Amino acid sequence: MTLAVSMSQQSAWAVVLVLGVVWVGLGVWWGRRAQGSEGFMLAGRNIGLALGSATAMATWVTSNTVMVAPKLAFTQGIWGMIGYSTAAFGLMLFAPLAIRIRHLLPKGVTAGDFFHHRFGQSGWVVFFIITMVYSLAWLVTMAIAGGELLNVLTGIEYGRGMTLILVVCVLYTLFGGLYAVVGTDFIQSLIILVGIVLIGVLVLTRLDFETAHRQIAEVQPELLNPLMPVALLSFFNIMLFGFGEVFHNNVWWSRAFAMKEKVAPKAFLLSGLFWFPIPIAAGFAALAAGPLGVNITDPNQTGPAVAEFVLAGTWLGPVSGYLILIVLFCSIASSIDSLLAATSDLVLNDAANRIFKRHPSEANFRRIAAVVIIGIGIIAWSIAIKRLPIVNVLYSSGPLVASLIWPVVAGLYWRKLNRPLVIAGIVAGSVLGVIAYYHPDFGWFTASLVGAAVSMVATIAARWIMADPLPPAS
Amino acid sequence: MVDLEWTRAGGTRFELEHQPPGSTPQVRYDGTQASSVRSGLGAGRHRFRVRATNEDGEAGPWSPPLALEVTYMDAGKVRLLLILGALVVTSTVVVILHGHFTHQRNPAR
Repeated sequence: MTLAVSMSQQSAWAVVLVLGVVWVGLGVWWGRRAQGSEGFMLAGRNIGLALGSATAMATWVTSNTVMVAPKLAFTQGIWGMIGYSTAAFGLMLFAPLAIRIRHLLPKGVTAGDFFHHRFGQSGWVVFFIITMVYSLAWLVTMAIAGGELLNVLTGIEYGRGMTLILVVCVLYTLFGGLYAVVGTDFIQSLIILVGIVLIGVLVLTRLDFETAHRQIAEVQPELLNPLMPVALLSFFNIMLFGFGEVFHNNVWWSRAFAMKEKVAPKAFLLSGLFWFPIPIAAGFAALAAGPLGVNITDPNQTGPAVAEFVLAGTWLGPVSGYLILIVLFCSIASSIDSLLAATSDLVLNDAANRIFKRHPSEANFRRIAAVVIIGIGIIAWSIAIKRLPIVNVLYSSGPLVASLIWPVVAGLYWRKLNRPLVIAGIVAGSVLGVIAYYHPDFGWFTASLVGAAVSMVATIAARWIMADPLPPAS
Repeated sequence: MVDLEWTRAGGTRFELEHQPPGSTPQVRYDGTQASSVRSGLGAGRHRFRVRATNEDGEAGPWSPPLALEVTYMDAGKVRLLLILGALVVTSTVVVILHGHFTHQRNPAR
């Protein structure tokens, strides 16, 4: 499918190359402040409220937000639209957790430090496997989405588009570390917010609500059905998937460590509040596809198809393609850079310390960090170029990350736990959740719920059965 | 969600007709694309058919109707899973808020 956007391939190349040069230039500029390993990985633990809120919000606006949220609204109606936005609650609930994280691990660097501190080497190994599967799947799906979007919007060949977006993100993360990621995220978040709000407003102005409602009620009645079973179940499933993603992943922990101590909770709360309406705006546009007369041929492209249709009929018509391209490029880049930085931190800090028992010296740090970031970029590229259906791996990792929700919460707040039982709960929740994902009687919309529920029962039991005191704050 | 595709043979424009259960058929798509995804269909038997129009504007015959039965998950199972979802989410929020306020009152714990 190719959208009929008003843009030649040459113009598209010009836009993405200019954006790429701007991001890399800014990355190099901000990267000059990254002194030493703490400066590079945690931006000197000195990020303020504006940058902190913007980076958290921009990172959470992924290609899924602008692609899957409209798809869910188109296929599951109002609950699909609202359900996706509940992923914002993960960010909001991470606000109180961030206070406790900073108290428990004032010198912490990664989420792995927490798991090792609270659950020992075995707990850390389980966490490390889950988070690497999830993070790599997320990174590869972002790269694939980037290539596919450039192809659909501009006709740029998939491999070239995907390579370009990945190379740009690797370069500025490489030069600027978290400083560059946070700085570019700030600008990207502004562009994303303005773009999506603009498209939402234009949809509102073009829609006759009474007619639209009547038409949906007649032709697509289930989209307005508040009791649509799949949509209702996916509501809790998406929420728990979101909790699991935010609570465990180093993308968020590294930000909690990098922000000024009193800033972190406010920044996560604000970012959740800012993020909440974005999937609703994107989803609402998709819900209007039928009444607007947009023929959807690929549900994954519902968002761009409606946006292109709506913008083409306005004063923005001649530049509609550019606007969609810039917003989507920013939303994908803001996630890829964060994943590259956070995953390389995990490898540099956790794998080096706990597997190889060696920590890179300050003198060698930037060189080794560069090798790790490029290495992760090459791994992601080599999987993405084959265009494997990695999105299934990402979605099926829902129960894995959901089974880490309760261990994280209990590890932060409780004083006693039976650690082997908690770890057994994570493994059981992950396995049963994945089985539910593929089982015809359950399906994807129950998988994270199953993973979280099993792990919750095991963690609660671990508080009372042969519980040992957890180590004090380090 | 139903993903419908048809061949382009003999036509430049296509009309897709949809008959929901208990309703009269209506054209839901009229355009040049050879596929359409229909979502939000109510439970029951739906019929779809398509016809092509050539370059001279002459419409061909309608295709034989494609009948589809749309069903949804058993209500009892949905209710059980919803109760479980509400329980897990509520418990998670309560434990976080309880832990947060306990920690605020006594940070040394």
